[in-house]
Amino acid sequence: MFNNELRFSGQCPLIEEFHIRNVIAGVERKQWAMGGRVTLSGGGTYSITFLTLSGGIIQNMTSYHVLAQKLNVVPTEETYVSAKNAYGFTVVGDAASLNSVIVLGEEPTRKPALLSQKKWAKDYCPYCKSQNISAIVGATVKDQVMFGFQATTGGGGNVAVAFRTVTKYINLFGLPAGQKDDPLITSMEDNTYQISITKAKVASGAEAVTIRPYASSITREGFTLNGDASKIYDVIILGQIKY
Amino acid sequence: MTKRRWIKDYCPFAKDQGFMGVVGDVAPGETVFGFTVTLGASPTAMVFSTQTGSKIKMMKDTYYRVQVTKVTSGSIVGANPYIAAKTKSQFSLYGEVGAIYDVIVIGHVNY
Repeated sequence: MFNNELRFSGQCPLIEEFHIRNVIAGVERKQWAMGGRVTLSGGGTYSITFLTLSGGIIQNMTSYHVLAQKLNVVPTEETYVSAKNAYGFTVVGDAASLNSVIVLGEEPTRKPALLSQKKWAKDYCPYCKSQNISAIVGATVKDQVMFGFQATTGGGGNVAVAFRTVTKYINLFGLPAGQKDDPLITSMEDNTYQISITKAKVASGAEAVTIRPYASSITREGFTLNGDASKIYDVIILGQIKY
Repeated sequence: MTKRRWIKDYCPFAKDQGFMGVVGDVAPGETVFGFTVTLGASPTAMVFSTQTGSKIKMMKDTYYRVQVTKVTSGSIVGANPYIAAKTKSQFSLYGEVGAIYDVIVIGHVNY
């Protein structure tokens, strides 16, 4: 799993050309990931359609999952999603707040396929098959990546997240120090990538959220994660990568 | 090949599916998937095989990442959702009883 020879970029010329070193697999045959930032109205809402979010590529989804995360300022009212329908949804939260939105969803087939719609990516792509990837996830923009990592806040309730640190194998997967120490990413293309943060206690037992987590001081190289003091958070990023 | 073109211009499968591009990852071999759940109790064990209709039976390790957002129409967030007790086959989701949550997971899958 951690052998560089298994990287997509070493096998698929398209992935090499298009600046993404690996692809993320999906479990649905036609699934998209997309995201954007929305500024809520004075009433604390923002209705968005998939047409807008995808730049006119996707009109409706058969099913989808949404992550919404307030940025820059501690949430007074935690951002949530309302009125989900096949064509979009409404983001609700603090008035005039800036929020990241990430969508993972399945799109209905719109036209007869050149290839059989019964087939999966692994049936056509030897690289997918070699990676044990059944499906790939579609993107509406170039060079877009989706990845996750874990971060632990300090005693002050925040931590400076540097991509070059959190994407080292030792931090991503707990490999021993000295083994795979190179960071997998050092920089995003710009600072408009999407961020989602969830408190994630490793051990069992309740540990209620006191300070609602949020990201601030967002740069291409990282951001500040704010939340409860000395707690563990799972983070997912969606955006264009620079390396 | 030229950077001005899209993956769909070269990959027949991407073109067939209507994908302009494909979503990349920084670590090899990871999978992303999601599910929607109505919380019957807090906490509730989110068993991957149950929530995904057996598409995912187990993760390869516990280094997967989980994100949760409340998606109950017209219902502001009372208690913030969070997770605990990650194992390869499940984790515990804490939140508001009766609320609906969208969950997205990224990690290595054992199938």
